[in-house]
Amino acid sequence: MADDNVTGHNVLIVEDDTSLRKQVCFAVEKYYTVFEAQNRKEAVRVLKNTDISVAILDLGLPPASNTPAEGLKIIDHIMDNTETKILVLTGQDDKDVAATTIRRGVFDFIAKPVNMEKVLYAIERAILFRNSEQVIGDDGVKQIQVSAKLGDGLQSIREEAERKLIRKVLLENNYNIYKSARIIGIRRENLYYFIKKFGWKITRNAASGR
Amino acid sequence: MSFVGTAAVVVLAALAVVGAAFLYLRALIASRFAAAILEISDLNEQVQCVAEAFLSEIHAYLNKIWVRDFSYDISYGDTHFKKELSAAGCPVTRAYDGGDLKISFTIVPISGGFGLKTLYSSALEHIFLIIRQDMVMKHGTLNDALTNALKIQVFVQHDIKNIAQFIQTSYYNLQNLKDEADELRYVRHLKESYTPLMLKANKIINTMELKPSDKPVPLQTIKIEAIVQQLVSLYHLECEVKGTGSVYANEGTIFLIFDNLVKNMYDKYLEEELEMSLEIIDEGDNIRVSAFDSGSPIKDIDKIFEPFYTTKTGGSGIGLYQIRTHVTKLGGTITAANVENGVIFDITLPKANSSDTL
Repeated sequence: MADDNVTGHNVLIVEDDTSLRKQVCFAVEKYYTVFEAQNRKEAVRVLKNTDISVAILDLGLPPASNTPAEGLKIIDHIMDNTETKILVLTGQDDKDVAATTIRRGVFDFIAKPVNMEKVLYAIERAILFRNSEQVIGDDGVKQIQVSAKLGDGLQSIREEAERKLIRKVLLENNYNIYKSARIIGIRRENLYYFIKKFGWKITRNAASGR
Repeated sequence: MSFVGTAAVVVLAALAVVGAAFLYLRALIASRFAAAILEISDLNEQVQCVAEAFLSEIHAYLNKIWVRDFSYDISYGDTHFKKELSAAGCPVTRAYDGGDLKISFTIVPISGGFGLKTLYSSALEHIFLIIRQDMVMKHGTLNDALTNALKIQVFVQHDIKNIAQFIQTSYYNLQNLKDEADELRYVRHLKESYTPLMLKANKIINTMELKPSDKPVPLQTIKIEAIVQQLVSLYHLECEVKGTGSVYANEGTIFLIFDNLVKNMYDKYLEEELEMSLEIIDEGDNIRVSAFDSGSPIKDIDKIFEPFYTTKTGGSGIGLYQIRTHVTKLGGTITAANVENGVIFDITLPKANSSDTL
């Protein structure tokens, strides 16, 4: 484990159970800067304002604490808008739920109750992966995760890969169309075509890179 | 009168006698069927509408209407009970397929002639309806009980797993305290954990018991505004709390009541933009707490205090029911109303008086 709070990484803990959240925060804040959220609204607010390396995410959140619905919405938000690695730490340990979260791209799925050491190791591993991906990214290689169902053909996989790769590059370049198009290796008109195709809204300032 | 004329009169008279006898016999048979059907209905009441018991006793009553044999085949969920036919004849069957519940009932009448076919059809229909009603009632009750038990189980499991995780994590934290600063920091975290943990434990116990316990509990004078303010902070709500008022009650019960009330507002706030306020009003002998939110109206507002009634996905339908049972036990009332610009919950509780121990 890294030395006390020197890693420079931000960890977001999304957990509606305040007493448990406080305990997890105490364990994690020794090594990382910790942010807390007890529902989706708060989680999205933190993710918008802070570069979070790892999110520890409970799935059963209000207003539907007995279903994974809110947690899945946060996963989709994180996967679409950030580079944050997700560790699901949940009591919703149904196999189907685990498969759904993994399909959506979470880094690890941990069922409660679990030894805290395992959570800390998972955070460390997630950060290692994130850092490595950034190094690879600096070499011009982008990693994207695509879940595909065999038998559905290549078209859907191609579209999903396109969508994720373009979204990732746009995000990393603050939606600068010129720069993003250059990195991806396509013309600006083509990038506009994809933006329209996937239904994304790009502001004028972002498009011009200002 | 000629011989022919006399003979014709005799034949006509004989026919009239035979016809009358036939009609009399049919009337007797119909009356026997009617009596048997009434007895069969009584039998169902005697066995308290339990189809299995009803079917085990029905044989004697079917004998009265000359039914040679009968069979049934009933299944619901994993339960299946049946009786096969043993007598030969022309069986008549009525069946019902309600998905999870399947019923088939067959009788073998002694004969279909002599105008008996209609009587047997009506007897079969009547008995079948009794069995179906019994089974639908039982199946519905069973399904409701299972659904409600599952709701409680899911709720309790979720919270128990969190408590287990809390224990695991606090054990880890305690083992890894390095110095006094660490210890102080840990105590601060524990202090923040106390109220939510107490609320959770309280809620689990009350949900498992569903109704307020009759066991004696410690009573004290409680400032409502302090409890409500703590809950508003706990749920990070932007909600104005106005007024003051005290009640003499058990602290856990008051926390449970207002936790459910504030949690209800919180769940709504997570789904829509809301303005909220909580006002504590001294009404002489009572304290009224009026909770307002500017959100969408409540559907089926007259049902919301019924146990297990919920409009939320994954909701248990226990929270508002718990509030009502506890408030009523304290001698208070709770009402909910859709108003022009939102929803108001009013809780009235007897006010603490000067003779109550402070």
